[in-house]
Amino acid sequence: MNRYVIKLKKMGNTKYISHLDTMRTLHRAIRRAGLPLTYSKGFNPHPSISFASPLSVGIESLAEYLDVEFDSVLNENDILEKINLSMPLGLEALKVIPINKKMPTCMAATYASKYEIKLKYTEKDKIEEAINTIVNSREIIKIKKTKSGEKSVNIREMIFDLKLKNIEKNYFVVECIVLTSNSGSLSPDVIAEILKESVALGVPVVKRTEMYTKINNELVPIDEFFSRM
Amino acid sequence: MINLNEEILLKVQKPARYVGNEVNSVIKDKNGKIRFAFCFPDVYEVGMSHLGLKIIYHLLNEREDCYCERAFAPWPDMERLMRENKIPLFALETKDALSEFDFVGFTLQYEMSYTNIINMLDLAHIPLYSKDRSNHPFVIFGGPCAYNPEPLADVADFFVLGEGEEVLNEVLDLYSKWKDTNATRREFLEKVSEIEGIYVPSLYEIEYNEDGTIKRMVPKKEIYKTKIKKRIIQNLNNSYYPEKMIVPLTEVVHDRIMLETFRGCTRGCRFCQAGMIYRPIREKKTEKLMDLADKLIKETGYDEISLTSLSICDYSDIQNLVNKLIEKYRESNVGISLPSLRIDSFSVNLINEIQKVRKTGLTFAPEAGTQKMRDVINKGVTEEDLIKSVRSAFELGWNNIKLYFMIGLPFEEDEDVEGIAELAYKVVDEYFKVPKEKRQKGLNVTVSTSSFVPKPFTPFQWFGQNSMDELYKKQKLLKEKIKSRFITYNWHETPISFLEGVFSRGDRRLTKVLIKAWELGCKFDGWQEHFDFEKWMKAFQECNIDPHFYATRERSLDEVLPWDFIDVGVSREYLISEYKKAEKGILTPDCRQGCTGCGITKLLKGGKCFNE
Repeated sequence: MNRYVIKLKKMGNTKYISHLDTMRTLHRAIRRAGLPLTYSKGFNPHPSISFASPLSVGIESLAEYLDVEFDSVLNENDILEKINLSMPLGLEALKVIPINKKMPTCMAATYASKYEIKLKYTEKDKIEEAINTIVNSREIIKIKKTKSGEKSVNIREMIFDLKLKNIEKNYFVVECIVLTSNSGSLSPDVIAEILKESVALGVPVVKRTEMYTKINNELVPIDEFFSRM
Repeated sequence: MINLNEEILLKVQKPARYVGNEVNSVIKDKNGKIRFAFCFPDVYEVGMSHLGLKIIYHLLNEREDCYCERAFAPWPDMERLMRENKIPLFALETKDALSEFDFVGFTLQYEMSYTNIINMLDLAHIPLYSKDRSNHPFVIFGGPCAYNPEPLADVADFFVLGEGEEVLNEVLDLYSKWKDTNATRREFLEKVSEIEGIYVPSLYEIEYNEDGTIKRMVPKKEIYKTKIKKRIIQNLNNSYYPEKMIVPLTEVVHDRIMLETFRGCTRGCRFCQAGMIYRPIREKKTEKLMDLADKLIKETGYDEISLTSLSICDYSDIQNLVNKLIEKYRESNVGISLPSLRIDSFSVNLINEIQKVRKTGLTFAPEAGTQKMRDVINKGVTEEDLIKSVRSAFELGWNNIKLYFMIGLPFEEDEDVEGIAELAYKVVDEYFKVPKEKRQKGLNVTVSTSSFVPKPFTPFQWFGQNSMDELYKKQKLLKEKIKSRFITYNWHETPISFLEGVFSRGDRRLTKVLIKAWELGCKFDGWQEHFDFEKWMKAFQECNIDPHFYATRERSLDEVLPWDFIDVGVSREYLISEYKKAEKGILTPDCRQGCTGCGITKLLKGGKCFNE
């Protein structure tokens, strides 16, 4: 078992591919690349590919992470080169990091994601105020539908950072870092919805720009975390 | 080029249907090329499962002077947004509007997709009627339903009859010459009609008898041919087959490599149109298939390969082919699937070999419930065959058996319908005969019935389809007979079968009904959730056309049928003799055992039917 973490970019039209379809697409890309993917034993062998955190349809990303296992030890540059030759346009491997057996999976390590949310505005002057209102509130209660019914969640606790990145002629971009973990995640759409109550309108265009793990209360990008070890 | 932005794509289900960009899709410079839009009149996931699309797409793109792209029917959510935002129907590769193309070619796989064709033309801003087109693309049709082209006669500029691999190249060669001249559209149509396999409906007029039947088909000029011969690829080993195929980015219905093993079928089932129109049988050699499999696996990355044909166990080297594939790809986890299995223990053993793992459902198609009916349709299987096969299936660990039947076949009586239930009970009994420790727990037998639709170029082309009432009665009868908790009964929607029956044997007068139905809002008629029978009936009424004339009326053997001018190779005399044999329950043997004289050999070079 030889583990690798791959950092991927999912841009352009590939953002319309769902999570499951992205898994299938990568599986086939790795097969086309002729890399010796490890399969699970048993009746219905499946490839050992898993993503840190599923990305919703329509969101671009500069930082998708996945764990893969190969049957043999491979040079990481070779992997990178071969995978990229067989990827559909828009999907691109950025880094391949060999990791040892004892390391956590990307999924287990992930704690937060950074997003950029692009929205049209109604009143330019009120953008900052709207963002500050969110940042300064201690509690933002949203009703969340769960399997067992509805529950109210304080989503403010799930926002670690939120700021205005830039204002352009027709739109503005906010940047946020929000919880993305096994115990809960905040969708950037929720922030877009709140902004749409005051200054924003239209369909939010979202991009994930990084994913983090948490070490000693500090957010460390996933690739840095695995490279450090 | 159309701008498909987030405002649209983020509001629809499965936006990946509309963006293209798949691995192995063809991107090339469109300038100066003959632009061909291959259109499948259903949603992306269905269209991208179609082998013919993959063959033709890659074939045309092999030509340097042609750029073939794809277009599918947008799902209603997307269609609404396209209409709201004035987005015309576009091709996936360049996102250019279809109206900019030279050819817009639809494949006709099932009659219930016809309203989607009309809808797609409308979305593309291409006039629906051929006579109204001027500086527009040529709208052409091919595929199995093109063997009765008449319901679309006024829509089509021309039809391509038979296998498209060679004839399309001839059409494009002609077109590239025509494009550089000042000749008119009409002149091109006249010229293209000279190519064998091409039918230009506007060159002909139909005369009718007083009772509404066809009197004759009259060419508008004497030089136009009166018989259109289907095209046949003589040798499948040398004909074009893609060595790479598009790998969709979103899951499609048949999401695997399709490896075509042979065309045609020698069984001669009398209800089966494919068995007649795709004659003669032509196989690809095992080495050729192994070579193609290898290339396709490397180029697609798929981990499943499906051996396609009309009846896979009839491939003469099937055991060897399957063994070789399993052997070669065991290590790399490529699975093999065999659709279209026959009822015999050989098939069960074969599938057991390739499915060493999970025993998912096993499907058999006895087609009819009694021996009498199976002889009528020339199915050539016995109850014993079925029972033996399910016995070995149960012993090998299957517990989920699906049985497919048809109701409404010619010469069927109530006891034949009841025979379906009886057969299902015998399958259940057989399960319990297998010792407990040898069988898998949890038996489930699913009986599905579809309603028989008579098709052109089959021995049953004269038969009056059962009325909806008759079919309802038969379904009810069967429901009452099936009381076992081990048996589930599913049936196909009767009104859809009725309408399919109208269009499969319809004539030119149906074009206006089709367009009327579309105006009333009909589309995606093959999808139960979209099918609206009342709108269809309204369309018939408004056009003053009686659908029963087409569906339920028994034709006399000397009636001129709307598709009589097409030569598929199988002769009318043969079909009549088969119909008569059906009535008496006389079997016609598989033609591998000796020529049954269907007539196809006269279309073949050297008059020989089988591969050497």
